[in-house]
Amino acid sequence: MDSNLKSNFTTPQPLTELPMTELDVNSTSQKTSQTVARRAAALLMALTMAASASSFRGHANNQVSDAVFIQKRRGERNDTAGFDKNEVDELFAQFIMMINDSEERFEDGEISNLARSVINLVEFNGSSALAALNALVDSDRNDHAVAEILKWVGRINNRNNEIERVSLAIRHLNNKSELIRDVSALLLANLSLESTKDVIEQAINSESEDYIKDTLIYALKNLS
Amino acid sequence: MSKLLRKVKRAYWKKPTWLPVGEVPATAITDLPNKESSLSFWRVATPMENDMAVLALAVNASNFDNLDIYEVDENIILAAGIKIVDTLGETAYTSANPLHVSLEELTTRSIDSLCKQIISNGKIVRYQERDLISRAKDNKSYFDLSRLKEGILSKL
Repeated sequence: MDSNLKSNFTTPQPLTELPMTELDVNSTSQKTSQTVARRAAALLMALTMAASASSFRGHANNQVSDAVFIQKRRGERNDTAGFDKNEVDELFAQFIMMINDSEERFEDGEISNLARSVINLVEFNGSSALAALNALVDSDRNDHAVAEILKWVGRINNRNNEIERVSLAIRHLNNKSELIRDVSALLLANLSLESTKDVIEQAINSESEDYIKDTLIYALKNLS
Repeated sequence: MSKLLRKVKRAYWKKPTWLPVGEVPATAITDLPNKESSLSFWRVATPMENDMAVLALAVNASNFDNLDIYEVDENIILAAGIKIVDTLGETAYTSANPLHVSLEELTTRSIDSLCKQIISNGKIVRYQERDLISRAKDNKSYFDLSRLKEGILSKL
C-alpha cells in the first residue's frame, strides 16, 4: 500500500488552480482551431435542428412561449438585459429539444453528449446561451438533465463569461431541486471566490440536505 | 471487519415520500447496471484502503467530480447470500486494484436484496472533487498514466 497516502480526505487543501480540464477553452495554443471546430459543430447542430424543424415546430413554439413567460417573470430582475430576446428564446428551445431527445444515463465524472452539445452552444453564443440556460433551470424541466448541463457548463474555463457562470451557480443555490442545488454548491466550491462568501453562508443556513450543506461548508472553508 | 464500497448516484437512492416501508425506488435498480450478473465493488479494511479505493474510483472517470460512495459491512452482503469474489480492478491506480471485488451470480432476487440493504443499512459518503484532485496529485507516481483519461491527466 502507498505509504504517503493520507487517510483523511476531508482535510481542506489549498487551492492551486481552477479545476477545469478539457473544458478549458483558453488553455492551449490550439485555441483558434478549437474555436473554429466548435463553431462548426454548433452550426452543424443548428442545421440539423433546422432540418427537423417541421416536426419540431409545434413543440418548439410551446417551449419558446415558456421561455418568454419565464423571461417576463424574470424581467422584474432584469436578468436578460442586453440580450437578444429572440436569440435567448431560440437557444432555450434548442436546449429543451436536446433534453427531450437525450436518453443518456448521467454519471458523475463523465461528461454526457447532452452537456457537450450545450457547451458548444454556450461557446458559440456566449451570454445569450447562459441566459437561456438560466431560464432552463427556472423552468422545472427534467432536473437530472438540467443539473448535468449546469454542472459542465459551469466548468467551462472562459474568462469572457465567468461572471455569468458564477451568477448562474449563485442564483440556483436555493432552487427547489436538490440536484440543482448540489451542482450549484459544487461549482462554487470549485470556483472558490471570496466574493461568494455571503451567499454561501446564507445557503448553509437554509440548506436542508446534509450532503449539500457539507459541500457548502467545504466551499466556505476553501475560499481564496 | 471489511466494508464494501461502490460509487453511486445519490439521487437514485433517495426515498420518495410515497415509498412503502421496506420497498426500494425503481430508480435504485438503474444505479446497479450489471455485467454478466455481477457488480463491481471495492473491499476495504482500513482507512488507508478506503482512501485508495476512493481514489481509484475518482481517477477511473473521465473527469474529476464530487463522488458519492456507498459503503456497507461485508457481512451484511454475505448474510444476504450474495457471493463475493476477488477480481483485480482495472483502474490506473494499480496498487489499489487488488482491493476490487465482484458480487457474482446475481439474480433479480439478490439484486432486490442488495438494494434493500443499501437503502436500510448502507450509508453514502460524499467526497469533494477538490480533495480528490489534491490526493490524486499526491499519488500521481503510483498511477499507470497510460490508463488515465485526458480530463484526469490534465489536472495532475
